[in-house]
Amino acid sequence: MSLVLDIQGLAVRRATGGLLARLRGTGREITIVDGIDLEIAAGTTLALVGESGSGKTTLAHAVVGLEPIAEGRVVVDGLSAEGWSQGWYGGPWRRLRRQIGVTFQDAVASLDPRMTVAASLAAPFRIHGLRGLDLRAEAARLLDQVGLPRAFLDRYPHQLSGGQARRVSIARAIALKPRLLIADEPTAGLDLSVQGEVLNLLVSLGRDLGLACLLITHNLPVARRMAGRIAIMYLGRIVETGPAEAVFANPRHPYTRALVNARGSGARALVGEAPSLASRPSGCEFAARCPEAQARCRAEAPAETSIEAGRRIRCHFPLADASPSREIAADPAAGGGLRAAAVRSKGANRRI
Amino acid sequence: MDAPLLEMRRLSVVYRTSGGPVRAVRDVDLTIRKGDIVGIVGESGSGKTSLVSAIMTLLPPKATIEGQILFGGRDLYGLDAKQRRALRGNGIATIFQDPFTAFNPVTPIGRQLVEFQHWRRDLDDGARWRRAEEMLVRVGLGDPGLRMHQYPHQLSGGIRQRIGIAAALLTDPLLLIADEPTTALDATTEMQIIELLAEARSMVDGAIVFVTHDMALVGAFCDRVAVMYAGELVEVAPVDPAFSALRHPYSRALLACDPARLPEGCREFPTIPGHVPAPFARRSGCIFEPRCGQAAPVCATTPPPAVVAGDGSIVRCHRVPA
Repeated sequence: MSLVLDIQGLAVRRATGGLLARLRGTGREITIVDGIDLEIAAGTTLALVGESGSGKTTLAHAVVGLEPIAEGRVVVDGLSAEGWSQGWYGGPWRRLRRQIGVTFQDAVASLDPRMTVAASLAAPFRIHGLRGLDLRAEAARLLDQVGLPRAFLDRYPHQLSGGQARRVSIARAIALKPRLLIADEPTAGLDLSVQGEVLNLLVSLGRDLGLACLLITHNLPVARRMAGRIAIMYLGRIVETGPAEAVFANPRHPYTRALVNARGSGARALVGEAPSLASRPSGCEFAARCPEAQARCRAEAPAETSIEAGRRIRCHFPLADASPSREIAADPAAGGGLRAAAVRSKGANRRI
Repeated sequence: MDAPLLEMRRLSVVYRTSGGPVRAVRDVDLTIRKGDIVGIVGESGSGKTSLVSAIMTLLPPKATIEGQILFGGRDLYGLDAKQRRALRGNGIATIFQDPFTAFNPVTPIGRQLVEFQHWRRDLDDGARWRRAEEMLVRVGLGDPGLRMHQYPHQLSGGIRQRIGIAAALLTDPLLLIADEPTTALDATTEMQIIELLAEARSMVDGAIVFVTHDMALVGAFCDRVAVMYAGELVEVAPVDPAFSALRHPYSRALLACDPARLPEGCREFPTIPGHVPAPFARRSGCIFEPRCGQAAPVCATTPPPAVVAGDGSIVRCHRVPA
């Protein structure tokens, strides 16, 4: 199958410190994402999972040129804008962006409040200079595709519910029949009863249009159902990647295990918090919170290694294959996760 | 049996708007006793925020209540403003959803924690300071001396929420209201706060009301669940991990929508078709009838009665056998 998105060795850095510090040469650069390798084939979905600040959105923005690329290359459907500044409005970036549809986290805010739905849906055609089309008819066709009545053409964003705004933003993203769809937290802020509608729509559009889809989410159950492959990010690096079912059934990185178990039973809650990007540890980023960490982890950053076909990991001491034996099954309170918290809290030490 | 700690009797919350009165909460009857841990679950527009605001007596001026809220047998809305204020600082404490705005940004944490104890006339400020430091240790903050001198913006969300919990516990509340306390937090931080709240149960000599949209959290540490839909309390049931006691069609449908509960291999996400009715709309029958997969003709014409079972469960549905 052909690769639609091919990212090799991508890094994004940002200068910090004020103008004076930069002029003096004492300003610093912080690395936001680093060493990213990702491939997505046509018709498949990759879920990028991580907590806030892990760099998921920055990575997506780098793909469309909303963040400067410090290192590495991004190829979308055979096209690359390498060497061209993002600010360059014509040329390679425009050709590249035509192949990419993006839905942003805050769907309502991503629509211009002064434009009707019809105008918002016509904007991609205008920007890319496609003439000779009946733009209102195109907008109506797009609304059909995302399951909204045509009466919505003349509405403004403030007249839309969260789920409807999400559908409009998906319609806009697929307007130019892109090869790649980037969906950044498509369920953020939606009620549970509405989330399913948006996710089912993304699944059916991906199938019907043969889209490659980069799904950014912090919701693991959603990632598991939506994506064939999954990549787990922590502090700007991908720590584990592989087929979604295999990663869930048998996490090999300790951070993945903590995430997978957070809502089931398994390891206790992780201690501490992710380190700050400004003071990135010299060794493994996860070492300070990792229950398996050893001296080597704090000294030396692990390289990305392949542990089995299609599965890569950044860890000096990967968890054993089929690891659930770590849990003590007889005593649920000895484990962790919500269920164990329930057992502990409902136990004998209540004062109530 | 003890007298109820909190009793809502046909409670309605009505907002005056330019489009006419909006009843955000309608005819809620709910009794909470000492020792209860009740989860209030609902989606946006369900009225759960208006309900807890009414309990906290923090409704905006354009809102009025009908019916009664009795706290320890006293009608909350029969009290004058000063008495209510005293109750908020002492009897009722709240952990807010957003730990980023719950604290005064220009005052160090320690001074705020001392001020929260102003009603403890028996303690001087030194003793209040020490008590605050001890509480920070109890909520898992290893270096209380440092935290007491920090400002809110210097703290991460997880640490701020721990301090929010400490602040609530410092008042020795009879009623602790946790309003979506983990919604703004990451998954691993959420886990830490859930474990802390589970431990905090033993520190509260009263009842806890936990407001959330997440059934999994209710399953983790509530004894009872109260499900709200479009301003009405549709069901109250005891909690077990599988929520087997839930019988109302809306409660069952909401539970099924949780992606974590999908059966293996299922690729279609369940939804509840239709929309929450507009708050202006008055229906003659059941509020959930237009979206209900089990609706019968009677549902469209007659509001379902609240059927109360022996264990205190309540369900409002024509289709659920008594």
